[in-house]
Amino acid sequence: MMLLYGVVPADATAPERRGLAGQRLEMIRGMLAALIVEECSERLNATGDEARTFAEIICDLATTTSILPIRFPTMLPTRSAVAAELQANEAAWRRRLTELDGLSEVIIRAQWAEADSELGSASNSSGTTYLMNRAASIHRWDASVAEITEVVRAWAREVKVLRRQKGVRLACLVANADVTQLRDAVTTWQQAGSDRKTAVSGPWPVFSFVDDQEALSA
Amino acid sequence: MSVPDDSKSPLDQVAENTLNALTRRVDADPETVERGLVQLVLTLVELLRQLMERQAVRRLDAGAMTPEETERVGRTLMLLEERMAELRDHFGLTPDDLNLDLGPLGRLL
Repeated sequence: MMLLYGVVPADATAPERRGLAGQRLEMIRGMLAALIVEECSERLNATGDEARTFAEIICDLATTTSILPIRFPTMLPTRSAVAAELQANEAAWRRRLTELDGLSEVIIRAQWAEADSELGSASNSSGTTYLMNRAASIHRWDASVAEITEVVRAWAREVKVLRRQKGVRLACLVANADVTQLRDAVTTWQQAGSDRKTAVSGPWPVFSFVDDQEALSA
Repeated sequence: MSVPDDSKSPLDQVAENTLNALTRRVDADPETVERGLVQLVLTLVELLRQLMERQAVRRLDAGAMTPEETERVGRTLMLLEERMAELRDHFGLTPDDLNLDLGPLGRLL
């Protein structure tokens, strides 16, 4: 089995490190793009620890080359299957690599003071109170997404709303040179309201901006 | 109030995205297929619950519900949320487990 890590330019330097299964990472090159893979003896369990290590490896690879991370744990049975996927998709992958060159992902998380009570109100309340609290939470969420999107608009090429349980989580596609300015803008926005808390992380590889149509699924 | 998700490092949060792809699938392993199917069913129920909630909020905002309706709909949604939490706990699922990756269409929830 071959575990797929990411798509890189065809002329990228081969990584000199081992992967999740302890094997040396390999590159399977096409004319326009290449895939970084690792040979594994069996299918991975995909535990949280493995996902974290996978993310670390992608982050490490991204320090030396543009990379489109592939969803973990995508595996193909043989090298020839990998080569076939590469051949079928490399033109689209190459386009996306070019579009994302010099860009990173920054994740913004925002939470507000009312969130805990709004989400934890299922017990000991009337139906009316519950619905009013949920309405307030939804309105607050919509407004926060709109506000943060506006705050980062000058620097973010794309913004995606990520799944959240509490508060708001947004992924922003940002030029590497603009990451600091975006971070400062979010900090300023946070300071303008005493009831909001934000956390900004990144720059990360573009995990959220690899077009799914161009990504492999296991 | 704490910083959002401060129990997890930024890398752990990024790693969540990579792991979610697997947990959104129904696991065909005979030993875990029940959990996978429950996960799928609860995800669909959660989708319906969220749609009902959004619709109820829209009607509330529009002033289209009487106080009695508001109480009845709110109580229904509240009980549904509680029941969903019980079922998640019973099958060892977290709220993050209730989602489906629809590929090109993105995530269901």
